[in-house]
Amino acid sequence: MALAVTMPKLGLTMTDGKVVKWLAQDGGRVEKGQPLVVVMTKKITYEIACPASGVLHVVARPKKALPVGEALGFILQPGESSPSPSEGEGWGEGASPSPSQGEAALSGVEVGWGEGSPQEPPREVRSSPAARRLARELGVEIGRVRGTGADGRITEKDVQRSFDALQSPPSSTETAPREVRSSPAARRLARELGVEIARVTGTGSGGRITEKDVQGFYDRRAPVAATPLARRMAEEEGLDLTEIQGTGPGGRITEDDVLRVLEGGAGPPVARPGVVPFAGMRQAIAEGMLESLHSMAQLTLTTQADVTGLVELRDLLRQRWDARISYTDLIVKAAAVALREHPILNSMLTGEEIVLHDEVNVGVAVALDEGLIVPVVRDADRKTILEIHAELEELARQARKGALSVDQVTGGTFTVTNLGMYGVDAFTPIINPPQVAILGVGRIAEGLALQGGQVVSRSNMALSLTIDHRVVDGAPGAAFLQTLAQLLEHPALIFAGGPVGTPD
Amino acid sequence: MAGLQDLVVVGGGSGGYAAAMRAAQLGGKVTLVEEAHYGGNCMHRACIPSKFLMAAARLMGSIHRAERFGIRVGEPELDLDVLHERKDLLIESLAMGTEEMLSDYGITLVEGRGRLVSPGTVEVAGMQIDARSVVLATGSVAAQLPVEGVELPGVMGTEEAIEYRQIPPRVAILGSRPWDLELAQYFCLMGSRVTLIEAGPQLLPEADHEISQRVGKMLYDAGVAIQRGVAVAAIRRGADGALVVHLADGHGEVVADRVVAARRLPNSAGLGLRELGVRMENGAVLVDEHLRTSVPHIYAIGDVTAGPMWSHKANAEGIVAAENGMGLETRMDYGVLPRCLYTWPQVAWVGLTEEQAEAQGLEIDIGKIPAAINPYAMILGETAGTVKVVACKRYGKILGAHVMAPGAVDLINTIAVAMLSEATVSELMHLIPAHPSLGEAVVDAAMDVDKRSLHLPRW
Repeated sequence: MALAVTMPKLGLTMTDGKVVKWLAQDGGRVEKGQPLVVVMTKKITYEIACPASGVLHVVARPKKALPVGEALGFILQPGESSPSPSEGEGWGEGASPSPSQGEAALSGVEVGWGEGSPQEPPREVRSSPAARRLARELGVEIGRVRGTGADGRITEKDVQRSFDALQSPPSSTETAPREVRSSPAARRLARELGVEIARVTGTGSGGRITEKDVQGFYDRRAPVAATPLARRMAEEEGLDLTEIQGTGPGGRITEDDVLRVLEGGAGPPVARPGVVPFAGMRQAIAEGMLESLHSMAQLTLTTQADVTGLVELRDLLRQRWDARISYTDLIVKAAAVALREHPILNSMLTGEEIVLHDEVNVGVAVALDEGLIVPVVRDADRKTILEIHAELEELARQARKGALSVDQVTGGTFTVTNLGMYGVDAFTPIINPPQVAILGVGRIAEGLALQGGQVVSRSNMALSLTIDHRVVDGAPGAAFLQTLAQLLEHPALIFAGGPVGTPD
Repeated sequence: MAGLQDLVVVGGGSGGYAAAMRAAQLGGKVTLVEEAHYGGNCMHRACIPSKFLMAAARLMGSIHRAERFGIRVGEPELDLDVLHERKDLLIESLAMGTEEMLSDYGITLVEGRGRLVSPGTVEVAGMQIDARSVVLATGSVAAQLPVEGVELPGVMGTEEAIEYRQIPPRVAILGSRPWDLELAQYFCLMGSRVTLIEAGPQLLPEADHEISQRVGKMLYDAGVAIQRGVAVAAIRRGADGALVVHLADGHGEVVADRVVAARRLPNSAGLGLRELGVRMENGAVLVDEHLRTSVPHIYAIGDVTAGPMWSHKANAEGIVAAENGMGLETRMDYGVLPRCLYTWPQVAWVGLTEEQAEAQGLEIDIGKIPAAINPYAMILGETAGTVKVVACKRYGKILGAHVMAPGAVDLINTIAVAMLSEATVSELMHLIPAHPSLGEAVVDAAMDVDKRSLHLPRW
């Protein structure tokens, strides 16, 4: 009787399979046990061994899908003709023995290319790309959005609806504070452990929170998730992992997160509407300014200087040199000259002594979008106006590009900050430690003055000098301011060289 | 065509099918355009067939060494027709499986060569498919080396060498990249006299120096002649009909019946990329870490982009590109990309080499264990290799690992897991490895970073 070779059932869910290739000739002689045909399911490829010796008659051509139990071909004995596919004694796993027996019966080239049957429900959210993008923008967790598209696919509209629902005010019952019933011991423990007692579920009578509940809540609190490398780095650098925001899978703290903290930023700068990250330059300024006010006795003196001559000089220099000479350029030079006369303002308090600097290095505050930075003009007293102008322009350009080197922003011995262009008169600048003085430059205002009995128009500039009273008293501070005012009133003196001094 | 597609993938190789399936998993309407075979070059002409041949070569080598285990066999006979038939059968079933999987995902399969006619339109066989995003996964094409005489009959590319159904008496191989070394060992173990010619100073130019040296010695011991630091001047036909590889600067010549000389170039021509202004460099499409090209909504992955040509890299990139195309935001991280050679014994590495770490100015510690003191390598009689760990001195971060040993490829995968989860050398040290295994060598190498391996002799 012709022996049928059928599509085996190779797994509980297998309903059909395909012939990949016949390994023997149709109509040719085959021996029992020789590799006969390769079949495949969705998951696996099997090689079926020949069940008997005889002549092969192929029924199923390669690549055709066949249900389990269907004849792939027949092994014919001498004198037999090929039966129709439904006839013949079944061989193979069509009679459905257990899969393991089936596998044992087959010699196995076995190639898997997928795991998990495609019938399993997809674990992931199905949505349009636009919906995903909108969800990200609105901060909506897409897994919580109900999809109304084809096959439950989430559309952009679904996301918007979900977002709108989140924005609507919650009902009053939800916001009413839950009255916490707890034992005094539980409250004390909660306070000690820093546990917010309202979050603890009470198991005592009437839902009362017990000491045990608080302890249990504390013990179950989420430990800090961090990679071994992040832990090791934090340990070596003395960082507290609980203060680092993790960005790894599941909020795990990774090497990058620790590095970000080490490099000066507190956490990843997250751009959210209405929130400015307090990090980087902002944080550095905050710390510097607070330290300055905490560690010094700061006193601000203000005066007015008649800068009519200075205004004329600037306009003249602009024409002659074809350079955009600024008042700041001129004031930096004037201040440097004045500092030579009053070295106490160009000093530093080390704790035991006051060190008078040899060099006059003037820092100039430059406003940036993200804060301010103070590049330094070294040896400003020995440089020409044109040199100072060129250097300040270059420093400001690099500052805006964020390209200043450490050398360019350190080593200052005095600072000039100009708010004149914003219409400010006098103000109280904060000293940049370890310097002992800072000059605030206010706006130039037109005013009337009496000169030889005549009323004349003059330009006046407000000058504000903050000094560290631990080092500089009011009188020497005022003397410096007077020298400076004199230089600005008679700008020729800036170029004159030699001692300017206070007039005797 | 069924209207606007969320993603159209051009090319159905290792990267393309991954991109298509991932986008479908995320609920996308996806079309995959493939001009030849699903599974691409890797499945049909490179990784799968070459590893099949290497498995056969390794078995051949084992048979020759069977007496070591007291097993006497006669001289084995190689039937290359059977070998290649079995190889092709495997490829066919893998390809059918891939096609089946793609259909199961509901991905529309279109046969033909895809071409971009606008950033959101792919043209295939006169039909236009509109897409929100397009992923270019067209792979690479074989190209000739710029050497005189490469066009001569008998000079083969890697693909031809893999398909070549003879074992030539003399083979010369130009270059020493992973696939060159695999072919060298394949032909050598199957009976050819093989000469390997590398123009640069070291075999496997990308590999750790020590691994390179050990691979060279392993091949040399197996009978492969090696010419290192020698350029090829020309290939000519000799008087007896054999090929003669003339070496530069008076280094003589190498006579061979077949010469393997090949390289691969990004398959970026004729896709309409230049017309759309997609930025390229030497034919490779430039992408960012999200695999975006310079043109919005066009992504590129795998061999058509710049960077090393590894199937597993393309596969990983396919997933990332699909996720970005579907509106997620994911990034590629190449820090833990394994490199592998299926030589006997295998060679694999991940992360930085000792030289790369030093060049980056990192302060490093090295731990290493020769395979010769690992009991399992000794049992197998495959003791030529080593396990080497490169670690950052400060925090014990695992910067790289370099293995030449039986099962090196799988060992590297486990070390890659450690690196990906940011385990440090300390975690590797605390692993309890199964005994006897090559895993013990990994633990030993980690311990050697602190000079506390129990199995290294104390000098």
